[in-house]
Formats: sequence, C-alpha cells, structure tokens
Amino acid sequence: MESYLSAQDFLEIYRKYKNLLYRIAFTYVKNNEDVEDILQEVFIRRLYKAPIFEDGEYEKRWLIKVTVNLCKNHVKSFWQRNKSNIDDLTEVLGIEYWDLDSEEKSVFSEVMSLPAKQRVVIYLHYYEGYSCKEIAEIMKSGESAVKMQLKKGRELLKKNMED
Amino acid sequence: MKFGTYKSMYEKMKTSEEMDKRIQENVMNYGSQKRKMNYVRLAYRMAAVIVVTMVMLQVQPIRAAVDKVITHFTNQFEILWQGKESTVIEMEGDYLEISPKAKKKECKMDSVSQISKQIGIHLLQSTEAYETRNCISYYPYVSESGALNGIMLIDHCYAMGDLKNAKMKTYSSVSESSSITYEKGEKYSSPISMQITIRSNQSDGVDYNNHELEYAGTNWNLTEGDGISDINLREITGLGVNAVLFTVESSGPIVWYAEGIEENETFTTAMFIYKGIEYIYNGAVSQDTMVEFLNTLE
Repeated sequence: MESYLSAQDFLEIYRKYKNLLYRIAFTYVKNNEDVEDILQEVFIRRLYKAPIFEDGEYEKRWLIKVTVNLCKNHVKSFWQRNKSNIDDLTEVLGIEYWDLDSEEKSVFSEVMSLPAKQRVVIYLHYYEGYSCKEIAEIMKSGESAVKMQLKKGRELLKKNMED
Repeated sequence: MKFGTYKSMYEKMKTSEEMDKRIQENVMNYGSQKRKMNYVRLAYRMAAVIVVTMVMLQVQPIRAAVDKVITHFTNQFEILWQGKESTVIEMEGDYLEISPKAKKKECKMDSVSQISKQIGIHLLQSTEAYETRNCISYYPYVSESGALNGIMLIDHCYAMGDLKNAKMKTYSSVSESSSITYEKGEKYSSPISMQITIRSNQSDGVDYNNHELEYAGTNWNLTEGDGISDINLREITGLGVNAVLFTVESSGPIVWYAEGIEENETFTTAMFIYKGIEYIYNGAVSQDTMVEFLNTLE
C-alpha cells in the first residue's frame, strides 16, 4: 500500500501525537493491549488513508476523531464491554511504569471510575483545552450533552475526592 | 478536583518504548504482512476471578468416518452463587454451513432478514425490532487462509419498546458508531441491544479458545454481589429453549448517549442458544420485560 508520507515524516507525526492519542485511548478503554491495537489502526489510517491536511490543528483534530471512533467501536461485543475491571487492570497490567505518585494514583482511580463519556469529555476540555462546541464536533454529539457530561463528571469527581 | 494533580497524572501517561517499536513496525509493514492481533488481554481476563464460568467442552469440529463432520459443541455454564451449591447449565451449539455468498468484509446491514438471506441461515427476528438503514454491524472473522471462521452481528438499538422520541443516526462505515437519543418509557429505560454469534463449519481448524469469537461464549466472569445479581433460567416458550438471565449494573454501550439515561442503570442480560446460534440481548428493562421481548422472537 502506498502513502504520500515518507518514513521520516511518518515517524515525526507519530512522535508528535502518540502520547495525546494514547491518553485519549487509554481514558476510553482502560487497558494497554486494546490501546495498542487502536493506536496501530489510527496510525495505519494516518499513513495510508488520510487526506492531505492544510495545517497541524486540522490534522490533530482528525487524529483525535479517528481515535475516539475506534475506541467506541473497539469494545464492540457484549463480552468485551463487560469484562473491564479497573482493579484487575491496575493490578494485572500494571500502571507502575508511568511512575505515578500516590496522589496521582488516587486521582487516576477516581477518573477511571467515571463513565467513559465523562472521562473523555473531561480530558479533552481540561487537559487539551477544547471548548464544549469543539468536543461536541469531535464526539459527534450535541453541545448540551457535552456540557451535561462535563458538569456531571466534575461533580462526581469533586464528591469522590472530598469523601 | 485537584487539577494540578490531574494534569501531572496525564503528563506521565505515555507510550512505552516497546509499544512504540511494535506500533511503528506494524504500521510501516502494513500491507506487506497481516496485522498481528493482540491476545495478551485474553490472558488476564482468563486469569481473573471466576465465579460464573462457561466452558466450551468440545470446540473443534471432528471429522469422522464417511467424510461426515460432527458439528456440535457444548457451552457449559457453571453458576456459583455466594454461599450456595453450584448449578451447571448446558447449551448445545453448532458449527453451521454458511453460504459462500456471505460477505467476508465487515460492513453495516439493514436488517436481520437481509443477513439471514445472504448467509443462508435462519436467524431469529423480533416482531418488535427497530430496524433502520445501516443499523446492524456485521463482523466476519476470516482466517489467514481465507476461511470464514464465524460471524458476529451487533445492533445496540435492536428494540425500542416504549421509549419515546427516539432519534437515531446511523452511518454506512463500520468504524462510525451510531448514536441515539430517547426518553425513557414505562418499561424500557434503554433500547435492547442484540448480539448474534454464528460459528462456521468451514472454520479451518481454528482454536476458538484463542479467538475473538471466544468472547461469545466460552469464558464469562460474573461476581455475584459485585454489580451482578439475580441469575435465573427462564423459558422462551415460543422457541422451546431456556435462556440464562441476570441483572448487571452498567453504563451500557457508548451509543446510548441519551440525555435522559442515568450513567449506571440496572440492565437485564439474556443469553441462549437456538438451533446452534448464540443470542445475547441486553437492556435497561426488568427480567419480565426481557422475557416478554424474547417471546417476540421467531
């Protein structure tokens, strides 16, 4: 299969976006093995099937959209959807190499216990700085739904962190 | 929330060097070699605490004398309730003859009857089905030699019951998720989703214990008291088979992005095998309502 990108161009794009997409995918599916499958597919699409981008922001948003879409579809079967358990994941797969301190681990557990939609909306808003309108476009949902998810997620986190 | 901690936590979430290497190699080699599926996740899932397990007793089609293929397998559900004796439930499945006309590429389809005609196998359909264009995701599992190992069909919004103002968006590409909004009804608090799994007798010696279709019935972890409760065996009178029903706390599939739905609902899941094919239905309805729905299948 042919690509208009050279290997060097591809590696540069990979390095530039890998952690952003990794965080989004992990926030959605909560385990490294599924994340790896998803990132692989995202970058295959970027290398072989993507349009030519006018600027970096357009490319970034295209990559985020593809990642979110793949995450939604990845956990497609009933069995896969219902097998994830954060205790198993943290224990068996290990998040230790991220070197989180105890406070960060506590926040991580709280964030990962939120519903997937809220986790991703919170990440895109507070970490990546996207507006509710932009997130609605990325997630293919209404702006009011994004605002609601943001509000609910924030309240839930605040409550849990205070407990 | 401590946003400083939140940000520093995400700062540290990065790909590992090993992951980078594997992804880069696979992406660069894409097209020249088959992408490797990652089965590590199977291992940890299998290793998790099993309270209810389903064991496939006989997974391989056995070629017998006179060129006849034995095409049955048995799903055995061992249900262990906390503090009670276990119960074993067996369901007979079949490796079926799928028509050569069956598509070998994943796609969206419009109805169960359309798929049924194409694959040459009768599939159960509900008289209450909500079928629209591109509503069903069709996932064929094809071996490296081109044999069709099986097919999985998924429709997250198969039945709408008494939900109000349901508005659905579907897309022709399998990589695009459908989305739906609705208001709860008296009986239905969410749509009922459908998952159908068909295993093929052209399975090319595939080991289903290490295969994606394995998810459809060979190991299942349920922990009573950990969001799982009320496990029952109920008869589907119209079909003359029993279904395993249980209640689970869940947020449901992502596509149920409704304004009205609570984040964690109580869902009823029903699963059974009919004429060798596995059927699973799931929705925020009571077990009685689920049984009513199951009795609309024909």
